[in-house]
Amino acid sequence: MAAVTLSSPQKARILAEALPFIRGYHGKTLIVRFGGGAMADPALKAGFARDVALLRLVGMNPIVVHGGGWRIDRLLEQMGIAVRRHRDVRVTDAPTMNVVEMVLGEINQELVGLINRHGAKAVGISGQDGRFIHARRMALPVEAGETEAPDLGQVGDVERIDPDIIDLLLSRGFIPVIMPIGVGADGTAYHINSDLVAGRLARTLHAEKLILMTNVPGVFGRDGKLAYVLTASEAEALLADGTVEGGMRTRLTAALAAVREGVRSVHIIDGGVESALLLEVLTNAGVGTAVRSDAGPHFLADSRSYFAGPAED
Amino acid sequence: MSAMGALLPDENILLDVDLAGRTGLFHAVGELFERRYALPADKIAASLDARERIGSTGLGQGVAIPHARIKGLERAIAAFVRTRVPIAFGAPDDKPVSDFLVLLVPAQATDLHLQILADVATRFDDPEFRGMLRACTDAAAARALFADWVPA
Repeated sequence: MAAVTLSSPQKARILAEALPFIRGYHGKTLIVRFGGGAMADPALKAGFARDVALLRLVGMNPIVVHGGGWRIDRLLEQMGIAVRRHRDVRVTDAPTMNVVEMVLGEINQELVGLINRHGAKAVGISGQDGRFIHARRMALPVEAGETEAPDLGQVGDVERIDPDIIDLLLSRGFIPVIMPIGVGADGTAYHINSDLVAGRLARTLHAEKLILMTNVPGVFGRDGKLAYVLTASEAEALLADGTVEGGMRTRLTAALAAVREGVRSVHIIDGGVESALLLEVLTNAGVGTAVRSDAGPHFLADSRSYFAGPAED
Repeated sequence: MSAMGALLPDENILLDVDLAGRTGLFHAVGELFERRYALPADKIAASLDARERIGSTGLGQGVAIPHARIKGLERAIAAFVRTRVPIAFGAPDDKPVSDFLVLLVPAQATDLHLQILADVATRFDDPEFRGMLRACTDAAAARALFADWVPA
């Protein structure tokens, strides 16, 4: 994005325009999944932490869920632990899980420190704390040529979330910073995809907004153009016909489930844009794709039926 | 010049006005059309409101195209209103709206009128158009942009 120098009246106008958004989201819960390339860029990471602190300080309840991504792979490589994947999912045996927990813990404390530096109070937690994320072993469906489902080790899926500890932290004004580790019934720790955790948390807490930050501008449609609004059925169709691939599949699936279960506003945004989070929450500039329920307005179809209806007097 | 130019004279463009909510917007638009075309302001506001109740005419990204059929109107007329502060409008992306192209059409609306709506929607869908529209500081510039824009 080109650097822009703003005049004082322009700055004042931007602040005034943020007011209705600040009022609208006051006291509301926003779940933000932080990950992707923004995590690799110290300036973007520090900017993200500042933006989260700002949202808290103007009265919203942000919750951060972060991933570990490439930093896990890098440390595994440095430690000489071979990485195996099944359909893009990292097979996580016990030594791999140790590295996963190490990297997630490190990222978690970095984010907590950065947020705290901006005057808010962040608390880093894992799903093991208070056993709030109940997990189960993730099973991939058996595909052609396989006799049994691949064993992914300690890769988990969310069984359920017990939001007590989150409610407690929010009620005291803390910002929970969550690493995506869950606990199985037998006490085993599982690494869970951070988009899945964020989506499930948004559904459990009936959050006002779910924001999934990613590396790309948003979701691209069949025509190759960025879709800035997708209805649930449009999103489903893009998943079904394979238009959406790779990590975006998991992200869009999590977004879709959240929308279907009543999270009002779900956004997949470009974490590489400076202050993407503030732009998304406090302005009417979209910085990605909004996913919405099928109910609600359909502009041209509504107009067609309005024009076809009886004329008013 | 496209059909848009004839629909939207400079006098029908209000930039950076202070309006409180949807009601305030429709009231202001009604008064504008009453002043310019001797149409009943209350009736226009009520008709715009009736269409909005079917579903928001917000398109997302801070833009909306409120419209209504008006008895006695012989041809389509439009106004463009940019509010200083965005207002809640039930848009599909949940964002408040600041840029409104308001269209009034005859009671016997036709495919032509639907086509006008689609044309405006195409302009508003284009991020470059939205950016240029927001950069307009006077009515003449906004009118020229609507009239001369060639969709990509």
